[in-house]
Amino acid sequence: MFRTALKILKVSPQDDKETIHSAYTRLVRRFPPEQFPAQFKKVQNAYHELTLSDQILSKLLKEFKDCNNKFQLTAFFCSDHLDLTSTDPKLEKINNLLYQNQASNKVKQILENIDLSAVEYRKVKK
Amino acid sequence: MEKIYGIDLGTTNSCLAVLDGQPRVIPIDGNGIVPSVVSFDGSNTLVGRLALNRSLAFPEQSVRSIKRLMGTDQSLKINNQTYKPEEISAIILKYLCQEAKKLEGLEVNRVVITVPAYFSEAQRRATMAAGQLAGLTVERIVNEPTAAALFYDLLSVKSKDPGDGKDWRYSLVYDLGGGTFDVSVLRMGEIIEVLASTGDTHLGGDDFDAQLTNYFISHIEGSSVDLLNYRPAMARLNFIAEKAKMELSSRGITSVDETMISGPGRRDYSLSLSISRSEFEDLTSQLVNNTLKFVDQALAEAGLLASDIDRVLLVGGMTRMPIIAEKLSAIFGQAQMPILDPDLSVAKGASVQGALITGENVEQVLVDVTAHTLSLMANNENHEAVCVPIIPRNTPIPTTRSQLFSTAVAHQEMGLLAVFQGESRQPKDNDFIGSTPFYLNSEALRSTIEVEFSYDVNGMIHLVAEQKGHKRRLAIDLDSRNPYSSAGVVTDFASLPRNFREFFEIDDDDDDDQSQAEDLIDVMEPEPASQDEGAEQKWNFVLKRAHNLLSSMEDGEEKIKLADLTKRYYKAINEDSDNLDDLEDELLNLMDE
Repeated sequence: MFRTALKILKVSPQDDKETIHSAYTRLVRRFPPEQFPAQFKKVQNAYHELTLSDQILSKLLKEFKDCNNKFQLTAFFCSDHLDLTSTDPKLEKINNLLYQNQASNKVKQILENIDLSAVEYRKVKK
Repeated sequence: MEKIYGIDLGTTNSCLAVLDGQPRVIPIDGNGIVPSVVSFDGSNTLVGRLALNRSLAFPEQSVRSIKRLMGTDQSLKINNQTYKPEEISAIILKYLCQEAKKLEGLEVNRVVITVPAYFSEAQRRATMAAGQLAGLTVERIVNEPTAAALFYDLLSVKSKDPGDGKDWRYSLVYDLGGGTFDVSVLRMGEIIEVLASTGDTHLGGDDFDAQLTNYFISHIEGSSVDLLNYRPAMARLNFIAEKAKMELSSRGITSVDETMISGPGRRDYSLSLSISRSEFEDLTSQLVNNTLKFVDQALAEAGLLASDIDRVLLVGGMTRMPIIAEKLSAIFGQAQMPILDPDLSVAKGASVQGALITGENVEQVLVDVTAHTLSLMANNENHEAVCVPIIPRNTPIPTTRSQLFSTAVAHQEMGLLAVFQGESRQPKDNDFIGSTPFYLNSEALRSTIEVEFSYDVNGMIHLVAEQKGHKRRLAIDLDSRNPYSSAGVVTDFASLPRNFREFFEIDDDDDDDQSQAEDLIDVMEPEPASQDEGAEQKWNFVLKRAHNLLSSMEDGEEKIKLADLTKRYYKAINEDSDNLDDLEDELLNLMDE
């Protein structure tokens, strides 16, 4: 998903937020929501994927801390914001926190998947 | 193409505008600011300024601030006739159109109507219904602060370079109208993006008037308490309060000297006092502080600090109250506060939006967001029904989001898809939009259900549910454009069953993680089926862009190439040719260069 997003916006993982945003702007000007809804949605999803804001991350962290059982954790992981492929240094913090938590097998499995994508991302970046 | 007019259907005033090169307000009732008042005089129905004047003498035959009731079941009884809020609004809309015809011979059929950004789905539907009752084609319901920003952007398009290297601005729109309050945070540059939007649909000038009215009553000599339940006296006092409020925007002190305020039992009261601006500010400080809380909230949701804001746009008549600009300056010291007409900007912006739809305006691109979270009701682990967010608030529209659920009981035959709007996890605290049953293949012991919500620019909610592995699929529109035809959709919350067996459950199976990724695999496939409704508008848009570009280009090879491609594209449209999509792609690519 992360790679598809990079491809859609034609940016590289090294690019900063401003560059990603101007790539997004260029594509939205080309595919305005009014006339090109389907293409707009793709551009929008890709942009969303590549820019996870500090605010969303901190909100996620709080939500995660509030999870007390398997159901809540699962709901948490299904939430739309959770594509942890951001350049944000807070990612590391969140990952650590997730591991400290005593989670069920299911959650552990999801955690590993998330970590994999993060690891993969870091590789791409290097 | 027929013009699309912009209408600001306000709590206190309404306004009709059209884009003739520049946005222009039709001067109905003199200056184009038409009081949103309807008065029933026998068989004669008055609207606007005449109705406002009559409402003082006959408050019980007149309706003001109907916008506050939009989206509710409350109806009004006047002269033994009952009216729904949307019917009253329709009378105002009709009046605007008739007057536009009378004054300038304009045929108003297609319109964009603005609503507060924080209006709920029910309030939007009621507004849409009002337009339809007035015989209009409502092309779009647009958020008021967004419309104002669109208008401002059009004004500032020529002076776009702020000279500091960045070609965009963070803007905050503070929109305090007669009955509603919105605050939106936008990023304005090459495109206009709404980042966050919040507000209160029951906070506005009316509340300021009410504070002042109460203050007056407490200063009337004699048993003034009786006046509280006496409508003519209250209407008059309210009118006096509104006038005093306006005066206090330009003066430090005002005096009120009214005699013969007739109360119950043929008793007359009189009111004589003077009130200073700071006294009035004290009376209403709680209201102003409330708006500032929403400002903080919008900034937080946009992930910005007050110091990031470059520009504050003041919209709505109430922003004339000096304390508001003062308070905002204190928060956003560094930001510019350009002078905009607070009464007309919204209607003008709506006319600009109309031109975006017809393709008459191709220079601006707007990305707006949902103001409320859309969620589906499902069981949690304790068989309690909760709202599971599918499209979170402040998501750019149009959007499609999906989520997996699972059946709640073995061999489940049916699950109800109940859609809610609001920020709570508790269904009872949210607005119920509608529900529809989804019949399953019950041979399966347990199955996974994928539920997908789409929210398009028209405010239409499209729902698709699929029983994974059984090819059962349901697709339905929860059509906010046409409130009277939602086949099979239950919209009465009370009639929803309370038994968990009839809903789905939050999914905790792990067999299907690729569903979301699927959507994105085909990177940039052209829009399917160019015969769809919007195709013509899309072609217009592309052609207009090419035309604009051509007229600004210098003669040369590039220009010939573009002109040639444009001609071929135009031909392909007329012949409905197979390579239309390819040509479109080629043309857009060329224009990007």
